[in-house]
Amino acid sequence: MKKKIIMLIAMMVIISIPVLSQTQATQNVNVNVTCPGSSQMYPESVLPSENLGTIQAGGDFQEVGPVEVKWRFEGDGTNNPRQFNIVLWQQAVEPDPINYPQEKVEIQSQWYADGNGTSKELINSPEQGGKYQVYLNEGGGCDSWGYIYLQITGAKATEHFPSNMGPVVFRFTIDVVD
Amino acid sequence: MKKFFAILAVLVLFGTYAWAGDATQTVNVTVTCSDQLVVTCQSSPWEPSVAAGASATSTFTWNITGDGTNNPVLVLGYNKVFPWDDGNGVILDLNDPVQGDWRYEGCNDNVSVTAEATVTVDLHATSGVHTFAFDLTATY
Repeated sequence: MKKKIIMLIAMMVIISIPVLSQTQATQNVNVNVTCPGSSQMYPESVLPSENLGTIQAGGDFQEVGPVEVKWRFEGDGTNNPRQFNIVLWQQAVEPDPINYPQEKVEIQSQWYADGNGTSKELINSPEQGGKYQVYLNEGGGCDSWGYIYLQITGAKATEHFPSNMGPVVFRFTIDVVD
Repeated sequence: MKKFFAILAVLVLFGTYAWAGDATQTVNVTVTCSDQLVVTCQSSPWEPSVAAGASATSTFTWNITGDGTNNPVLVLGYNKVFPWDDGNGVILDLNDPVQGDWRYEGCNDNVSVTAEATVTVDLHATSGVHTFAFDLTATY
């Protein structure tokens, strides 16, 4: 008897379930995300007003600085490492080649890249016109960034370099390749 | 003889009356709607271009065409949960569907359903196209 009552209740429950149908339509949303600062790169160091220091004419490289010429990379959001090109790298400057040919000042320096949030990474065998890549901090989204450094540690002047020449200006230019 | 014709006339009239009784013809017409209940997107695809750190809004519209039964749609819902974070810096948020003027009274009658959509892109988003797809489901 109890079994019959349970079966009857079960049947009533089954019967009371309405037969429902469904229909649907798909909405597609394609969001094109752009990075406001993509492809930007700009100097962050205080040069050219930074003074490397004063050296004596003649002899080998003398210790100066060190001074970091620094550029900041903005991420383009692709998660790919950014590439840069050393467009101009003045390692030696002749400030007055007409009146004082042969007289020049040279610097000793090394390029570094900020590697994915780790410490600075040395760029081996850099050269003007060379293309190098740098990994960005914070995973490569639109707000990611990276740094390129030129660390100058030494300078030397030719033996007869005129002392009234004033400060010798070195210029460095890098550009985004990708 | 006159009596014979009189009787004959009465018989003819009575017979004619009896022969001309009522008869009913029944015609049943079954109406079918050309469509079942159908939901169609009016705003798909939505393809905004949004800079990182910014947002965009839109109104999604769906059209529900009736099947002529006069039965209302019981449930409107999405097959995704909102806000929907794609994990790459883009969030799609959508409020519940707002039903328009319900005039669901026969074949091909329809009602519009709308919902406000917001896309928010954080500064850490990756560039390029982020894709979302979801269904508005009508249960009846």
